Amino acid sequence: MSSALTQAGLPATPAASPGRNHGGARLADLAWLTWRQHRAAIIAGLVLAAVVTAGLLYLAARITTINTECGNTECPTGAAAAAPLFGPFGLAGLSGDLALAVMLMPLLAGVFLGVPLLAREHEQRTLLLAWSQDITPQRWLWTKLAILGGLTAAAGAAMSAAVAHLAHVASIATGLDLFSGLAFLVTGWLPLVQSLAWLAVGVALGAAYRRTLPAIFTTLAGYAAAYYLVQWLYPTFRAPLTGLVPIGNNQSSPPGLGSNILVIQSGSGTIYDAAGHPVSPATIVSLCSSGSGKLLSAPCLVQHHFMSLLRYQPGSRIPEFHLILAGGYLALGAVAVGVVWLLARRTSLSAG
Amino acid sequence: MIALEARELTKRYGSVTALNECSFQLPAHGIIALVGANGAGKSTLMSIAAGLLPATSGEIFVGGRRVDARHKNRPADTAHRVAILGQDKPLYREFSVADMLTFGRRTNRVWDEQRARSWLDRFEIPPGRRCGKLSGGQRAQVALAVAIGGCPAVLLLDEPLANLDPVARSEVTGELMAEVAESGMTVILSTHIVAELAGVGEHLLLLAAGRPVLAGNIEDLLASHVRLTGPHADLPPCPGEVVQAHHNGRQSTFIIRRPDGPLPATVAPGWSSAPITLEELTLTYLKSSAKPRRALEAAA
Repeated sequence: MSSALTQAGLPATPAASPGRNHGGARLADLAWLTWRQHRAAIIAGLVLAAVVTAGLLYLAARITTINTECGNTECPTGAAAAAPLFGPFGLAGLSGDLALAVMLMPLLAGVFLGVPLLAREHEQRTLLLAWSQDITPQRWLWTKLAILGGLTAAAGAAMSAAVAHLAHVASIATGLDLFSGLAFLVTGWLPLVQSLAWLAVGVALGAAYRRTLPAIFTTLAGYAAAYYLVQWLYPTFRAPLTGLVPIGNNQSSPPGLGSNILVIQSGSGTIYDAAGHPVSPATIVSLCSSGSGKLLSAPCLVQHHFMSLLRYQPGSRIPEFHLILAGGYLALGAVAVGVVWLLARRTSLSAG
Repeated sequence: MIALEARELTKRYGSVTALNECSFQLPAHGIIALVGANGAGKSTLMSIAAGLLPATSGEIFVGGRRVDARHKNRPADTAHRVAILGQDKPLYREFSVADMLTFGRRTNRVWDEQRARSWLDRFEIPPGRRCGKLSGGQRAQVALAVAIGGCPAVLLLDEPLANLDPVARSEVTGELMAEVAESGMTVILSTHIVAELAGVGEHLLLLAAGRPVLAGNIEDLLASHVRLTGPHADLPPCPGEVVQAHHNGRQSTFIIRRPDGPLPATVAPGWSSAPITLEELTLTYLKSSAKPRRALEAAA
């Protein structure tokens, strides 16, 4: 038997001097414990984040090349340089898929890192083991949460930066609207803030349920509810502006309103003339009624340069809206951390 | 020297009283048997002593130092260190045995690696095996190694022998006794199966409905209790505190506690005396303490 083994085969550890020693329960020791307990989730999470980030950067590089070929503007329809952007496996489609992955990363952080932190300890009754050593429960909890939070923040920051860069170059190449859909929800460092918020929510739900599965399902439900709530609420963060746009305009950003506008309401109510004065319905009918006298002829409306009212959020408000959303997620995370603190304080363990 | 002292210790869970104004002193250096039926308050008492659970009122002291569950810092001073091992001997299932020792070393300011390793050596636990794949006996050994490695002055073991086969049980108790003799620590071992304690405990604390009903050196307690059997009588034929009286037709049986030691085999014409076992002693006290409680419950 090797000399490095003891009588029963226990490997001799360098730090383990024979007899009594002092100095455990330091930050490095808690870092080891966190790593040892959560290493599978940490490795899987970091590898996934690295793959997604690399994919985002690769796509951004490819699209940047196309942008250069097209003179840093949207490529004309049918241009050969733009061909790789579209189609079933086009760069635009793949960018959307990766953006969806970025969108889901905060959920994974909550489910696979947050929930098990306390729920698994309760389930396996190991909280009694952990909290009866020389590390206070509060120190044990906050250090582990800080370590997992730090790793989550690092992965979230890398993905946030990469996806923001990709969205920027894609908006040049394809005219991608940055104020709606995934493009808005995954930019502005929201993946970073959301990851931290859902990590904290996962920990709080794990502490509340003390069971992994119910906490996971509640995290999933909460994430879905928050997603739809945000989709519903964010267009109303500020009172929309109004503007007149020519009837028949098919551009996502009508001329004069700036780029990346978020349309709240369009094409309803009063019709205006080219000078911006309201036109009476009788005048419109007399000018553009079709044969039956009830339907208006669309080409006629365009020909007369009639305009309709558009309610919209200007693209200049994107950073402000991102900030409001980030604030909301940070508040959610702060509430979750408060719940964890409260539940940890109230947790009384019994040996039986 | 006193290892553990409780003063008017009470713990309530809502309307349920787990410990009711418990006061006792337990001597240091030895194995103390904490006996009681299920729900008697053994685990609650141990959890409070370990600083894991706050008491509703009263105080508890380990080696003269007051335990405060609000400040869960375990003292580095070895005279006041407490380790607790729960009934289910919790271990991280995905950790190897060697990882568990690393866990102990890294989460304790005072750690005796050699002591923990030598405990595992005695039972030949495979160091590389995952804890989730260990047998119940092996899990108990690993959990005990981590507890012992923390150099506790008082080691609280909550039903540590439950789920162990007779061989493992005998090995654990034997090694515990050796460890106590070598290190001078105090082991408080709770159980509701008195047969487990045969030849193990030196001191007894019997809990019933959250109150201590009997405490003392086991040999002294056994020596001072005697069973008297004779013709039907309302009182025993000699002085002593009647712990239990049983009348069956023309025969009466008393278990009495005599402060001045055992009686001769024959105490009065027609009467015989016999010593009682530890199991009989604890059962007698548990039954006698249950009667007034049941009467109270019936009256309520």
